[in-house]
Amino acid sequence: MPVFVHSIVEWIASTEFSQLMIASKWWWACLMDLHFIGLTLLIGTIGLLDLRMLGFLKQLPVEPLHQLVPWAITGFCINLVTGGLAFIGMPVFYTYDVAFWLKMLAILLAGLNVMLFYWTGTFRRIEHLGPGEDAPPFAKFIAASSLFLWFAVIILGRYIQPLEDTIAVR
Amino acid sequence: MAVPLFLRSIEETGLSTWIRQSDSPFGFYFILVVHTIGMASIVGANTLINLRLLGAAPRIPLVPLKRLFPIMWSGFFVNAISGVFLVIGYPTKALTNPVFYFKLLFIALALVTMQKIKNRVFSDTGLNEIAMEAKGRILAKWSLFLWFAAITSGRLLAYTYTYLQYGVHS
Repeated sequence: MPVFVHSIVEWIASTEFSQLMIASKWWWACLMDLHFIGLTLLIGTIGLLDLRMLGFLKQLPVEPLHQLVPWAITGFCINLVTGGLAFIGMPVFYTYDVAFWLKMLAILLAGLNVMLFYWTGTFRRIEHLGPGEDAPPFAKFIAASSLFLWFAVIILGRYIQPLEDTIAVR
Repeated sequence: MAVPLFLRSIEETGLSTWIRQSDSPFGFYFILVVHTIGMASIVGANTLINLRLLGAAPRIPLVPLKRLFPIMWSGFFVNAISGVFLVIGYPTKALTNPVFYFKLLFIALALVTMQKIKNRVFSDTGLNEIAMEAKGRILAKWSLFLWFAAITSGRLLAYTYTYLQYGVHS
């Protein structure tokens, strides 16, 4: 990890706000609790949309499933906020943890996947699929990538703790 | 109240020791990941049904959502099994913590509510979707609350235990 990153991270750790995040274990438990709820909202909604695009639960029409996306975004935002506050609370711990950075990479890729979904017009192609109708192969690829990446995010998130201190301080 | 000795006996078994101390990627954290994924499945799917019953994303047809129940039950069984292994790894930590028993109680009640939703809302083919929503509304609210309570109790386990292992105070 380059020296300038280390100095920024150490500075964050020295701030009063950072100390505040870790001052109470109940506050920390609250952050983590909301983080799990956000992840459940995200997986419950996006997961169902992805499964339908992959051809499961075909009795469901696709367009109403898309109405669930705001809930997914809510879940993601809850996690962005709680995750950000957690990072500010323990910046050194997260910065030197390889699982944390892999998780960030997975989230980035999931975001790119979402952009692909809309910008390639795939969304418009599957938006009006009714019950029993199959999605095109590229839509299935996006759905499979989405499921894979979000599960990777969950798994990597769990491995942050045991993989502490896996990146060297330079 | 003294801590029962049988908890130490469990901790002294090969399996328990392996779960706690193994360097294998399939040790404690892997079991935790499986537990997290199971939780995301059952609570995610259940939350989706609950939100729909409460009127969110109203164009999603309710009847096909009955197909989510096998996913939810699979999630539960995965968690029952992974949960047993987690307790085998840290029996004193779990079984001397009152919060753990609350977690089990909330899960039991949430499952009862889930089954009631299946029987009263989804299994009565004479109901139209408006009637299904009306019948399921209160159960859906209870279900949301109970799963929230279960997740919160689960999260709090990491912050409320008295003994990490037999004879080892937190």
